[in-house]
Amino acid sequence: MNHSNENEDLSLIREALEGNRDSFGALVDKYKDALFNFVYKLMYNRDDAMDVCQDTYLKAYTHLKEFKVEYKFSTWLYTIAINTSRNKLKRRKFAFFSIDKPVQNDDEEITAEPADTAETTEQALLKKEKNELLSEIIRSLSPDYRIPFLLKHEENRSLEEIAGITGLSTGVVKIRIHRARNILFKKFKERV
Amino acid sequence: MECNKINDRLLNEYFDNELDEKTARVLSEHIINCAACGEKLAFIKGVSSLISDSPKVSAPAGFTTRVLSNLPLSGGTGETAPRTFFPGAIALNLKSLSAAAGFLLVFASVILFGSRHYFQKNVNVTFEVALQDASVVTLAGDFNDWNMYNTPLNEEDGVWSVTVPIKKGKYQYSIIVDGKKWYPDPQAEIDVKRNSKIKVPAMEII
Ligand SMILES: [Zn+2]
Repeated sequence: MNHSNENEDLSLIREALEGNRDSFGALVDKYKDALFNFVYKLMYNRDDAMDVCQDTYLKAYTHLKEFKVEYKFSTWLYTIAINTSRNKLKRRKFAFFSIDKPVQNDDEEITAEPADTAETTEQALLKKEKNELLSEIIRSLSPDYRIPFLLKHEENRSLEEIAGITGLSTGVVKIRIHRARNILFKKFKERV
Repeated sequence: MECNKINDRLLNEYFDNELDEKTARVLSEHIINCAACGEKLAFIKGVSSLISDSPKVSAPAGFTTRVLSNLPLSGGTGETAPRTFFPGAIALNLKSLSAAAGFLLVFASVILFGSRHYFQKNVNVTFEVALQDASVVTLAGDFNDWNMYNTPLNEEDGVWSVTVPIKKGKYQYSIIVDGKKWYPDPQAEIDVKRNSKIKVPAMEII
């Protein structure tokens, strides 16, 4: 993200603090797709992703005064989103009402692309298989590993950025990513 | 380089392009001849591209409008009218939620109503619920006319609680989280006979 982009965020934040809701709307617009994609991959559930993203922006808005110029707005947003997701994931695990109910996979969302007439059944099947594999991979990781792992591979972020978002040191981030891959590799070896 | 010297860290760093040129060269020579390392590296590559090639999911249509319509009236500007029973730090403005609350109160009274009070003296009942990421938790029930603003819970280490003096009897209640999510009592009804503590189970969206 370049410098003028960050400056733009700062002026939008300033305007939002002055009471201009449209400026905050512009900030929502700017990051909503990236954020939604990330949170969706993290939760693998559309409703949860929607809740988390809405809550994230609500929290960002109500705490906007606490935003510091040293941060990048997008980093700050991701930090809020991650904490919100983490709590939700934790709660889901101990959910009272859905204790035996498997978490629903939400394949529909991820495969709902514009109809590609050229796509063969075989291709569609392959795509479905890939999605299932992906969701299985993500679910095999606890949030501690899942979050840095996805920031790295889904978002292609540097160790420094991941450290900034998660509040971990770069050393710990690196170890978590390595371990996440090991956990997955072990799982894979058990299968084959 | 011997295989047992190729630890995980080195292999991971090799994949992430974090090694100096010389170490990287030695490693790549090893990997060519070592099935175990080759397999692991191929696996890491495979998983990595499976994830990075996965289709991007966009926010649902109307997302921004929805977010904006849910914002407190003046949360960002710091002009929030403080409600006496909430600590100042809580920025959730209940005003904007009152329309929804009105609807929910009607809903709650239709669905959940039916208290059977006995006219006896008060006992103390503590309601306790563990909720990690809530900002405001309140209690509404037969005993406070289902008013979601009357009985806020206080948080300590993720556990929210409040003690209310109520008459002996059977009651229904809901826990309201952040002014918008209502969790009815899973047992449908509590029977209060003496001073007691009610541990509300950890909850998920109903
Ligand atoms: Zn080897």
